[in-house]
Amino acid sequence: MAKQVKNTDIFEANLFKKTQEDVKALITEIDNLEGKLVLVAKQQKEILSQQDNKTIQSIQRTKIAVDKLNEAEKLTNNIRNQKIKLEQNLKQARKVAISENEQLKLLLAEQNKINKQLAREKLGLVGAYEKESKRLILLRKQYKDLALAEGETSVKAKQLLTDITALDSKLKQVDATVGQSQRNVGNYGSAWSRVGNTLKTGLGILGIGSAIAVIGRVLFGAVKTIREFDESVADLQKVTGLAKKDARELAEEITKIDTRTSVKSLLELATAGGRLGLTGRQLIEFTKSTDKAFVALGDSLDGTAEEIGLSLGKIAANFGAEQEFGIGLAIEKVGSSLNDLGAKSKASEDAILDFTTRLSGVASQSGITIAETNALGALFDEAGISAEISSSLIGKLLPAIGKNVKKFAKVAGVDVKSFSKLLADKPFEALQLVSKGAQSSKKGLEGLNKTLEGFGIKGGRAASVVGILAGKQERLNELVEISNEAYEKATSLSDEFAVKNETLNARIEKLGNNWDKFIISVESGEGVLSDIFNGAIGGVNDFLVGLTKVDQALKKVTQRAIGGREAYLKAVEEFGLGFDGIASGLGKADKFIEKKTDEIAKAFIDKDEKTQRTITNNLLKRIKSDNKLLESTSGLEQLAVEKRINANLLLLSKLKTVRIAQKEGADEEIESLGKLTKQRARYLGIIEKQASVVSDLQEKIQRASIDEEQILTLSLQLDVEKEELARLNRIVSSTIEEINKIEIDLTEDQTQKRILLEEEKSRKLIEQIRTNSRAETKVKEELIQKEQERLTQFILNENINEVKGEIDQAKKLAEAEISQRKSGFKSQKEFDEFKAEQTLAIKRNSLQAELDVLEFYGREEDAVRREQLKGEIAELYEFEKEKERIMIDFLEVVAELVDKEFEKRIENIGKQIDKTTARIDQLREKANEGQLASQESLAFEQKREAELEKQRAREQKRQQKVQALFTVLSTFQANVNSGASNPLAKTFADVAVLKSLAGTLGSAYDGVDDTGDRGKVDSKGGKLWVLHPNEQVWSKKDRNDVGFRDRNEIKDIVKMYDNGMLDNLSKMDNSSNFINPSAFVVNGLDNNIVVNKLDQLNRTLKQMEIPKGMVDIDEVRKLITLTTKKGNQITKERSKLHS
Amino acid sequence: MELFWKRSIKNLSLKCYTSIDDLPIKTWFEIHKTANFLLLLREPVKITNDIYDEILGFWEEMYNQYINKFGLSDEFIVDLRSQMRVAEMRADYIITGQRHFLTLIKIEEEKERLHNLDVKEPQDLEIILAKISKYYGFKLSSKELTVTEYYSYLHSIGNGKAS
Repeated sequence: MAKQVKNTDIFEANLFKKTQEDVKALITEIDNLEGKLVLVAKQQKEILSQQDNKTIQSIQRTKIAVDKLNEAEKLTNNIRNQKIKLEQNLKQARKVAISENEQLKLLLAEQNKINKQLAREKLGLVGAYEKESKRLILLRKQYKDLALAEGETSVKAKQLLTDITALDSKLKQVDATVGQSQRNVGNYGSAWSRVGNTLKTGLGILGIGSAIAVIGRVLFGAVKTIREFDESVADLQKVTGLAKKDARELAEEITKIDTRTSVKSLLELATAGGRLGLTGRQLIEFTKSTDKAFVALGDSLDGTAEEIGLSLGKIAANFGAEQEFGIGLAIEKVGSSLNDLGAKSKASEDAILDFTTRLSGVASQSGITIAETNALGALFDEAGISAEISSSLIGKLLPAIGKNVKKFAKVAGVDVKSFSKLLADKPFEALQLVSKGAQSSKKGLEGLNKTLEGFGIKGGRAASVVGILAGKQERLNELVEISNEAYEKATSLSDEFAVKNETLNARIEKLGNNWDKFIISVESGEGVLSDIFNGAIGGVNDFLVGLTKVDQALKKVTQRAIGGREAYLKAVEEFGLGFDGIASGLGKADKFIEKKTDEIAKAFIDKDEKTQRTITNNLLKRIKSDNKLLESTSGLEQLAVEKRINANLLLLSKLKTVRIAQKEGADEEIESLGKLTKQRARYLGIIEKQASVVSDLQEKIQRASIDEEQILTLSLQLDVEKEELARLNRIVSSTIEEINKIEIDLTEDQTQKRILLEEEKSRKLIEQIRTNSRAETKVKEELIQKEQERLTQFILNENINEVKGEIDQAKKLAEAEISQRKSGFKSQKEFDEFKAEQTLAIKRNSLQAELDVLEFYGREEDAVRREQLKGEIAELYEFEKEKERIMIDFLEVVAELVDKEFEKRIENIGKQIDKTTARIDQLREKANEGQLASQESLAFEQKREAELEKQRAREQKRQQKVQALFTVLSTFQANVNSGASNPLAKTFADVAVLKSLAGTLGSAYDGVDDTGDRGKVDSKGGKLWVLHPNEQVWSKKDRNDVGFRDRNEIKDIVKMYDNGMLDNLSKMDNSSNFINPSAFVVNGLDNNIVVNKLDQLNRTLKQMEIPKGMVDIDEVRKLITLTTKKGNQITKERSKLHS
Repeated sequence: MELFWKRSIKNLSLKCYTSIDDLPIKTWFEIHKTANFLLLLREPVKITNDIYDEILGFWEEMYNQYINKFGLSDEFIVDLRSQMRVAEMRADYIITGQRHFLTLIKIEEEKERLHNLDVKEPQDLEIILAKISKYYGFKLSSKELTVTEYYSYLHSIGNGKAS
């Protein structure tokens, strides 16, 4: 025997093990490499530190070290990125691997189990199969011999041929079931090839193909049911004019009818009713009755449910039966008549119905009843005349009679008057008489033919119809009697329905219908089922995607043999991707079945024993029929049936458990209750007798007034009997107590149990008080009242405690739920925050619920607790508010601190800039003085100054951004505190508004000379502006005072003033060449002269000799720098020495 | 023939420029441009690895002469130090794995980039010489002018003492 191949031979249980090991090895390699790079870095750093860069060799070594470190850094970055990526992948792989491996192990185990089972089944099957195959060969041989000896038509040969055919077909069926390749025992190669094919499609590996297929089958079946139901409801809505919701409710009501008819057909019947103008209860009655006809006569009637319903409805309406009996009964009457005629004649119900439908208009007008019309139809059908011909002729004859009474009276052979009366009272008899008269003489028939021809009816046909009518008067009368009786009783249809609705087939159909009804009831038009299905369909879709991936993955797995380890890894990775959706879909379906079977089992408890029996029997039948069905189906359908069987078996086991539990409990209780009840009845009988004895004795004592001795004797006897009566009463009352005790024990609800016990105690106490002969009535009443009050209080307490318990339970549940939601959070901190918040809310809600309960009952003794609760709730709210306040304060403080930090940084940068500016000024001065060495430093400082300015600008921008962030945070927190429904969205809106507003505001950040046109903020034309720290604002008047000069002009003037230039100019006395405070006056200078002097000065400066330039060659860096100086302007031009 | 080459090799220093006092500035520029150290040869010589190394040695020696005589520019030193700082930070990053070194490297590189922002494409030696000639008032030939002379003239301009 070939070695059995197991799944584990192909797939390792831990598919990720190798991958993980490889990745780990790779990471180790990377670590090694990184270590080597660190060594290189250390060496090169050492080399760098040793260089003095005073020789070309040293510079070269520096350059080499620099280059090497540059390369090493690039490599390090690359390696570290790779390492991080690998570690992340490994982490992810470990995570996925744990769950995937577990799942895979389970699937492999399941698959192994299935394979073993298949192998075992095959072994048994093949043994029998071979035996039967040999027998078939033998039988065929025998048949050939027999056919030659006795001929093919001989009885024995025929019998043998039948046996051969049966056996052959049986074996073929086996072949079809197991697949021809599996005929050979132990041919694992072939078997494995099949498994291999399955593997290719992915089903084998997953071991869940059947489940998926079943889900698919169930889903599509259910979807179809819902779709059909929805379509039917839409039809119903259309014909009844009801709103969708009402139509749906009506449809659901209709589906409750206990029938074998499918939901779809039932609704078709209802639609027919709707077409006939029926609504509401009438429509339901119509549907019920037509359904009875549909079930009872279904096999004899042609057409859809709707057509049959319409025909019956029209008949009932046309003949006025609907008005007379109501639509339900009318249909039942028509149906009963049809049913009995069908059963007791050779006519078919279909033909009768056809005839009556065709003739209903004319017949009803002529005064012929439904039963008579049906009977006529039956007669003609028996005679082999089609409903079309017969109804057509009678349909013309009847009006003809009415139009020409005289002629037809003559044909009938009676006088006109009596014929007219007969026609009016009994039109059917008049018709019979006419036909009889026509038949009785040649003249009569000829006369009739002629008359009929006058009405456009061909003589030949008329003769045959009339001939039958006349010739089979007796039969017609019999049929009329049958029809009438059935019509009157109107039970025939129900009887037939009852029989046909409970046949084996009917029960199987009902089970199917119940499934559909169940689907529809779950759907309820609210999309409940659709949601479940959507989830499951999503799962199936994912599964299909998964299958494709599995297929691709398997192809890639084969590449592994060629050496494509990477392909394998990728394949394994992809293989894992399809599971989530499938698992989720499957999970939903299983849970769904589990939940629904539980619900059915729960409802099952309340059913009476007979119903329970019927339900379990029906279920068993359904399972049996499904088992049969299983043999004739294949592929997905087979898997679907299999799943249904499993679901039904699950349900059956649950129902059985319920029944056993119920039976055990009930038997015990019933036995005990039964005994006690019997005992009590017996004692009550004795008490009655004893009471009568006592009463007799009292009577006797009253009568025996003379004989004292007799009185004494009777009194003594009376005492004895009274005592016996009391004893019996005690016994009976104790029996009642025992019954009550059992009832209390049966009460599951603990609170109710305690209340019942307390009531029982109270009842006893009150009884004792009442029977106490020593107490006064008034005192007794008081005591009883107090006891009743106490009992009321007790019940109230119990109820409150029960509600409190429920609140407590709900609180614990909510807390437990929160603890379970941990997985949805990114960090422990985040979860802790959420938990704290939720716990607070739960506590608050719980306290509020308790307060509500106590306030509802409003007891005085709870006043303190109520106040306490109010306080606690208020504290919690206060805590929340305090927390909110703290949050805002905290934000503000943080914002301020951060802002200060920025200010500090900017200030520092400002100081550095100031210093740099000062240095620049110094260097410029030196440069002006001709110290060219200062040029380089000057350039450096200028660069430094520019950098610092940039840095300051960056810091200011960052500061603005951080300020904006804190504004947003504060706004958000404020929105949260205000209880905004979506604080984040509101924050965005608020910030957007602020931003857009800010955009419209003027800003003096870079300074401004003129603020522009008038605004509308106040009467002085004010407008909104954004100001920053330490800015200066001038009024219009101030500006006017300085002649509206701009800032640059003002700054120049101030500079001139600061360096004393203005002062000196104003005090120079040209005549004596010294400083004189009154020089202006003495010199008579005006502005023009000053300007001229300045111009002169400028010209002189321009004519000054410019110092020479400087060339610097940087051979190492291959740069040449040409520095030229013209006046105060220094130009530095650097360029590469070589290309 | 073989013997001739051997003899020649012995006196390689005689057939090669070994001092910046002799080396024409044109050759100096040319070698910088092409890195063809064989330009240092005054006469043709059969080149072997040893000879090439020896020529390279001459070049390095001449470069050291240049450094000793004229020194390295401040800018170059600043630049080199900057490169060394970056390299050291790279080494620290590789050794410690602390990523803040990457930021510091970035800053240093950015500084360097800004520093070299105004560097223009090379100017031809002849143009430079023309400018210097104009400055001094007499013609300077790239073929005749030695490296020492060239840089001396240049530095003389730099000191503003040229007449």
